[in-house]
Amino acid sequence: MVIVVASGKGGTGKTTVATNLVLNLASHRPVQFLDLDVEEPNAHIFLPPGDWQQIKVGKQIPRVEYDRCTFCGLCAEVCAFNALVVLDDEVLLFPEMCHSCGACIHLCPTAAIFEEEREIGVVEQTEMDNITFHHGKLNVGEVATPEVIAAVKEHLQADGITIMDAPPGTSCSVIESVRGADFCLLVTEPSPLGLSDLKLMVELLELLHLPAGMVINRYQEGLDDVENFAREKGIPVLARIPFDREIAACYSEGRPFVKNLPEYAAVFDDLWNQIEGLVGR
Amino acid sequence: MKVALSVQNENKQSMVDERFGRCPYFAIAETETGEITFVTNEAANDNGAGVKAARILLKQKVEAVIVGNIGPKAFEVLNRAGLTIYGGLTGSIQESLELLKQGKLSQLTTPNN
Repeated sequence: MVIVVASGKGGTGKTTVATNLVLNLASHRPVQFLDLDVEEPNAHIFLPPGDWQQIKVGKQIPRVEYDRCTFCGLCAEVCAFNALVVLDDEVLLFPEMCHSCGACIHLCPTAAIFEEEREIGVVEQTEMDNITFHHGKLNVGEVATPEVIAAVKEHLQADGITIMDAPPGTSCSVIESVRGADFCLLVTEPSPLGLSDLKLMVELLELLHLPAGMVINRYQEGLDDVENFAREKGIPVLARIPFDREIAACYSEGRPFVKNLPEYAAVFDDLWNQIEGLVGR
Repeated sequence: MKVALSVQNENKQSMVDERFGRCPYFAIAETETGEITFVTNEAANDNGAGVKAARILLKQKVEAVIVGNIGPKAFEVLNRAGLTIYGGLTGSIQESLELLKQGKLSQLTTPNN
């Protein structure tokens, strides 16, 4: 069972909910946890330390063999991403613009272009107390976020429980993250910005036909806009995490609150039971 | 000398556009004769606009470019192709060409955006 935690808006508490859900589950059974926010991975900060293994992530880029090149310019003409420029005696490549489509290689009339691998990031994995954890790190200056996310997801287990923490937003990287999940846990906050980005995220889930449930973080009575929207869309609200100073204090010290404020264990037990019920249906 | 300027409109009275890659038009001026022609910047709304815009200018066989702001990739293309890149694009086409004529524009050696 694969559950992805997403939000639309950044800073609503995706990682907080994901890490606490994982740690609470792991006290009963094994769980896989993937942090897919490869531009700013931070879930590991809240987990017990383990020994890390690293796997490099590469992407294919073109390399020009100059003794075959006639500088005809066709490779640059066919590049949809403007990664190539052909000068009189030189072919300039901007590797971070390349989307590895291979058009330049296939269409070069003198077969002067070859594929080579360029490192764009790394997947790191570790094990700890019932948790198998993977996250990705995109190298600074690189833009191929979905490729590194896909590399993390290659480690998805065939069975058992997997929780994935998605990046914020609703762009390519989020689509790559939520793709293939069985259920999306939406973490939102009862603010106008939270609601605005939540609407975009719900629209995305509708396009992908992905069932969802909602956690309202920093919940305060009387702020009902998010709740009304959930009702309108038929998305069940599975948990309400109050706007609690104690939780903020735990977060700022990198301590998972489910372990430090025992009253919340029941909230996450109940959250998981509801998710299982909805996914099993 | 054939020099290109990023501009807002397709006429000789046009104001310049400080954005290199995303300007709507380039004015191509022949400094000896004063003749000015225009090309549409088809890169303006593309991914990698700077690189594509630079390629458009290479096809026009310009020898120099006057820019407001230019990014690292477009700068590299123009620089490696041997074009002279002047900074200080300002006001109208005529004002910028006049500054060039008076030698008041300095050559850029690094991208500035």
